Amino acid sequence: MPKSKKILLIEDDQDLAELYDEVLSAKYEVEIAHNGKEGLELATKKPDLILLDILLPSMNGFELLKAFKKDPQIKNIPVIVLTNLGSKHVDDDKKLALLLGAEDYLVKTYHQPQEILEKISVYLPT
Amino acid sequence: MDKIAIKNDQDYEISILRERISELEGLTERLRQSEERYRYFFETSPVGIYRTTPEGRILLCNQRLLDMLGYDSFEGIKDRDLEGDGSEPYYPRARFKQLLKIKGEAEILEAAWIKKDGSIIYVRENARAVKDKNGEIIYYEGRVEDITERKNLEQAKEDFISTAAHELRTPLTSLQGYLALLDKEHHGLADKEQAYINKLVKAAHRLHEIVEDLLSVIRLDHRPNVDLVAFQLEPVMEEAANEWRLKAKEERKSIILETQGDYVIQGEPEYTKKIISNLIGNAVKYTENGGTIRITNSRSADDNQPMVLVTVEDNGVGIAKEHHQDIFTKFFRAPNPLSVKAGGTGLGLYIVRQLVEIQHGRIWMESERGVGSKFSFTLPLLDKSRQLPLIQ
Repeated sequence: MPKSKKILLIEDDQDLAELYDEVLSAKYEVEIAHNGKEGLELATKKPDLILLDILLPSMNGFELLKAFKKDPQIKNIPVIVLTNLGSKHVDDDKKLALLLGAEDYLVKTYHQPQEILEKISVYLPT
Repeated sequence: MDKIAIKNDQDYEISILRERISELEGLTERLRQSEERYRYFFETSPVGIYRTTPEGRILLCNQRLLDMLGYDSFEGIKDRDLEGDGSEPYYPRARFKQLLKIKGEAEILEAAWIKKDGSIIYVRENARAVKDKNGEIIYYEGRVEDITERKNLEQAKEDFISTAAHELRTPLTSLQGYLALLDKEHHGLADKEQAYINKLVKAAHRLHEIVEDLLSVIRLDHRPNVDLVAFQLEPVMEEAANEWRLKAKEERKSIILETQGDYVIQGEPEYTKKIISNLIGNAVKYTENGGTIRITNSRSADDNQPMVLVTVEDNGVGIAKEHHQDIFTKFFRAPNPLSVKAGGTGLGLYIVRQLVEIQHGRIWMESERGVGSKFSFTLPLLDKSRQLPLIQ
């Protein structure tokens, strides 16, 4: 049986972290970081995918994304921004995230957790 | 005046002269007093006042203008070229100047001027051109009002609303997410509990809509430049109508789509879908059970450039005449018994109007209380000479 893919979820809201943990754990192994510092540490453990929130305490997601892409160990791990910043249209935040190297940009409030599970599976081929 | 005994013609002329001089002195004195009165208002006006040559060099101005631009005296400002470097590059004065030349007067609601120290102030400006007998402009004179503080206040308010709305999204995501889990996993729920969950889902959805409307309004107020693409109108109209078919069916209201032609629009398809969906939603809300909502498209007859006309018409409660001019403004909700049941933030039509105008269209409404309402808007047809990406 193939080993489960590992996802690093960087999310500061406790309830949302638990929500996504529950839904994603159905298919993947999930580790959670609640802030930028924890995120950087856990990223060195080489997860298969990073889900990154933007509005984080002290270090914001964009800075974290830059740090990821500068680190030779981490830069090849696909990052999907999962945030409540943004709108239904391609706006500045989305453009910035993609410019900084994120694979995709999902606005939490527009997708049910199940949908998010489906959307990220594209980046985790078995 | 001294009385002089008039002895001969010369004396007579002298006395006339003295009368004239006296009159002149009186006039001059009155002029001086008049000027003093107006000079006081001129100098102490809270609005900057200026007069410039047609090329933009300042001929005279009041103290307020000097203060606004950060100059100590007229000496400092008199060589300043208001036309050239007077305004910050993002607020071009070309159109303002054009209107001045053609109409003789013009107004800019928001412009930016550069102060002596290089910093920027935001102003509202109006001016007129003063011409000579041959119609040549001899000078411009105008008024400038500093609106920087008002703008900062508006920005602060928007930032506040934006932050609050974004903050609201987090618990909302949690609400919607856990409700979805509850719904999915507990199929063994009693009818009553399932009904409670349905109500919770509905309420969470309403909250979501209100938060999104608030964020839309703020974003649209800044008229973001949207990338225009070519898209087919008919499928967008169908998708919008489909969003309401279930609800309409439940309430025994008919949605009739009467589309013709193979119109290709240059605009933004998501915006257009939202416009039509909002209008149909309103029509459904404000029409009684058994009513009809009719949606059509056609070539627009009276525009300078080729446009398509889309209408959404209902035979519902209609809107009283006194509310017609406010219908597209923020937070306006026409008072009527169905309003309370219908819900809504009052932002819907304001957003719809913004979405139409961003795509360079026009929107208007006809309505009669007790008869129904008809909303019409135009969108530009594809200009075939432009190369635009086609969206399927």
